[in-house]
Amino acid sequence: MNVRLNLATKPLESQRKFYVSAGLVAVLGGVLFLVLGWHVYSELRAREDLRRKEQDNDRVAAQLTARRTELDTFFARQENARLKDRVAFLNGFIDESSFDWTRMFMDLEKTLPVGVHVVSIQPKREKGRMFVRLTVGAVSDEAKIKFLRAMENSPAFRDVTLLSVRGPSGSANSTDQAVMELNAVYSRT
Amino acid sequence: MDRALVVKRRIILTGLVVLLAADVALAAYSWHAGNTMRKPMADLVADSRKLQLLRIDVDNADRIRHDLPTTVADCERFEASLLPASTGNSTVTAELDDLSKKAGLQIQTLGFRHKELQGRNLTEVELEIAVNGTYANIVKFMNSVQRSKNPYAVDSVVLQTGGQQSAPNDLHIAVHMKTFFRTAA
Repeated sequence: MNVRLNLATKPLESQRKFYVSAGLVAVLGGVLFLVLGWHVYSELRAREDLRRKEQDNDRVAAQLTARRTELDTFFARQENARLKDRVAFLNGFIDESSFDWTRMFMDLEKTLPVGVHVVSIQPKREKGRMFVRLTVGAVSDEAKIKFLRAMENSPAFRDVTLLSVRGPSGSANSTDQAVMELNAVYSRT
Repeated sequence: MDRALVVKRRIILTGLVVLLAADVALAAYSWHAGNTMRKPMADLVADSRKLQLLRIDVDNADRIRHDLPTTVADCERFEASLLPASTGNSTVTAELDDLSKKAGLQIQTLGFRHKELQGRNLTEVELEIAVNGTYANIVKFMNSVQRSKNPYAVDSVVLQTGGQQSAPNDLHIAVHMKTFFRTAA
């Protein structure tokens, strides 16, 4: 006959809670370790890529700088410098002679409302822009305002600056109630 | 508690502490590396942009060098198209007379001012023209000047009412323009 006897001198303590907690922390810590490890690995690879790209850039920059130095030397030769000056001179003249005056007159005609007429036009090219100094006579205040609004809204003229408005002088044209002088930049150049 | 069990628990705890410490160290390194990478990356982008501009610059210069013979030929062709200094004055006078008549204008004065351009084999000719006519005639004249086969660069146009002695719609126009004559064959 078998009799089962408990001969332990201390009460049984369960370790289950400890192992579960430790296991959970170990799993979470392990996952975190893997994630961070992968991240650090990626950072290191990116750093390596960066270094390689910097080296590539340095190499290309050295090549381009050498080519540029060679070209600078070539263009600094007396005959080439003279040619550059010749080309710039002729291009400047061609650019000036190809300015479309007819179109500027047409744009001006479109902008002028009824009751306003041109007294004088002084177009002048400066630094690649065509400035127009206009003097116009207006037969009424209404025509004067219409003209100024038309100039301000015209796609052909910009930076319109009114310089002066004079009352009827009786000398140039007795029907004019106002003579305006203004500056504008002609855009279609 | 059993001594062996205590040792086992300590080993487990130590392992967990080491694992968490490694996590903290990796996180710190990762954060630091991320921060320090930002500036070099921005520098690389800026350098790449500069390089691209340099490449465009160099390619343009290369193309200009390659096209130099064509450019020289173009310059020579244009200069050859200019009037020779020996006959230029009469040709310009005749042409402007003709253009003004066709536009219905009468030339009042026509002034020439010659300036030899050293080293260019060219003479710059400044022209001062004063004509009278209506606005429509003046626009027609300007259009003809613009379309002339001889190149004229109009510097300024002053358009003013003709004054008391002229017809009511008459304007007085003063045109300042220039052209070039070639002085060498």
